[in-house]
Amino acid sequence: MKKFLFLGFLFAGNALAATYTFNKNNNKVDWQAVGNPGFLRINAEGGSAEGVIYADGGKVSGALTVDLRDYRTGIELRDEHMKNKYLMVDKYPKAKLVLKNQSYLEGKEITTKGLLTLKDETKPVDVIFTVTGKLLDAKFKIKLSDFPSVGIPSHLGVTVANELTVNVKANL
Amino acid sequence: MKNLIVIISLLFSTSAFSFPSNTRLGYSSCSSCHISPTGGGILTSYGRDTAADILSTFSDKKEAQPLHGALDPYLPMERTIIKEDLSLLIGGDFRYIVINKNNFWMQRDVELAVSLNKTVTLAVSAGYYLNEIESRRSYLLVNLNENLSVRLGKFFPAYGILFDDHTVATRRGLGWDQGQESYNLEFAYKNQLGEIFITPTVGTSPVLDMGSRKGYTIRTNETGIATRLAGYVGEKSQVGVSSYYLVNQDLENPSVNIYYGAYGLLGLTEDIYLLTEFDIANQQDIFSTNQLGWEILKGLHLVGSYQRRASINEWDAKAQWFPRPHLEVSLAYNYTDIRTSTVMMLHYYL
Repeated sequence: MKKFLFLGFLFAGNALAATYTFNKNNNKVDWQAVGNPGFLRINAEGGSAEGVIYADGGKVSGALTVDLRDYRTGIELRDEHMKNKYLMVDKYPKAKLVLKNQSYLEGKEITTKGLLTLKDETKPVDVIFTVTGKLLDAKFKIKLSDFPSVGIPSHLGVTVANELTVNVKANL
Repeated sequence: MKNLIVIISLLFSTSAFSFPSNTRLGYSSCSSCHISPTGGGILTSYGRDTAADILSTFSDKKEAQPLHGALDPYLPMERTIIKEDLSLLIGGDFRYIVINKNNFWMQRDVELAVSLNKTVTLAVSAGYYLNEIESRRSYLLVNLNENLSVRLGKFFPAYGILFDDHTVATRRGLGWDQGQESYNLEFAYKNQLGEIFITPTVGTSPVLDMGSRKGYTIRTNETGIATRLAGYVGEKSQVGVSSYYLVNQDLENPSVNIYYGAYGLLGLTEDIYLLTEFDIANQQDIFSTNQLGWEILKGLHLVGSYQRRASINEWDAKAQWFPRPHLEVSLAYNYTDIRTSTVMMLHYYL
């Protein structure tokens, strides 16, 4: 039961043009979901974003991808269902987030729009982030109902709640 | 044929105890894996499947099914569908104990749950104890929605940690040993942040009087209420507080019992956990159970514990192994201020 994706973002908070490179060593992208009945807490770890974000004149643009095959939730059967049954990582190994000319301000919590691609569907998401120096902290929510090709994971009566939360921490 | 198979399956017993250490794997509430809102007892379909995946060292694909999958598809991992939304779940336990040089059957139980649209569930257990057949746990459960449930029947009220060992200080010491289930009406509310249980009780031996002029009445010397409030902490832990108030109006031995305490189910890492409970009984006696466990490889646990029962201190060291679905073996050394013992348990659950 599960899904996936994530995205990263980052930004640096000054007016000078800059390029920020994400790699597997400088950030972590995790996500949390809830399964019912029982409010089972599902925590997926192991992923990180790769890509480049450009910051110039108070605007940011760029694209980041996450390899969904990297995620683990602590239970092998659940990981297998998540990757093979719902995310189909053999065919769609990556999730992608694209930002286009989004505003930011260093040290302030900003909400910005991104386009998230999961499998072959692309939907807008609201990303809340804060950049302080080289540190980025961000999160956003994904509604599984927005991605019918992924669906709502369910296994033997336990169903994942429609909304899950993605968290990103980066040190660029 | 299908009915015969179901009847045969009822000869197997049911797991009456829970495994609160699974909190460290994100199972902060018991309802994902158990029919009972407080855990223990009959497993849900998901709980059965998960038991193979997270509890056992080795397992094959259908092995967690009743009778190891031998009667598939009549007894599948999923609920056995009787008719449309009416489904059946079965469970059972055999536990055989060797304490020093004494050996005996500790538990031989069967449990059956019938569920209508997964909203209304009737669960009944029957076991063979001391040459008698006894039902220690039976209830009607109504899940009003994903947060709220009501349960009426005979079971342990929600208080502290429902340890998988009924002899620990905070179970046996407080009067919740095996065979001491009471008759209760439980109200439970759960959400992502925590849970609360409020359980009025009429004690362990009420009498239903069907001959009174008022119609049916329940006569009991005991009335009381148990409450438990818990919060889910992070991804792996739960902490809570409990209280219990019971009045016994027996003419010869009237009494009032007041307990209150706190507990924690703490997932320190994915493999190391601490189960700790501290209770005060009648404002004078301390009862405490503390278990530090380490799952050194999947299904194999080493557990050290310290308990206090009023003025007696007790230490245990235990190795607990779930080699395959349905099987558990444990070996424990127990030391108290007044005695020592070695306990081996063999457990088969349906």
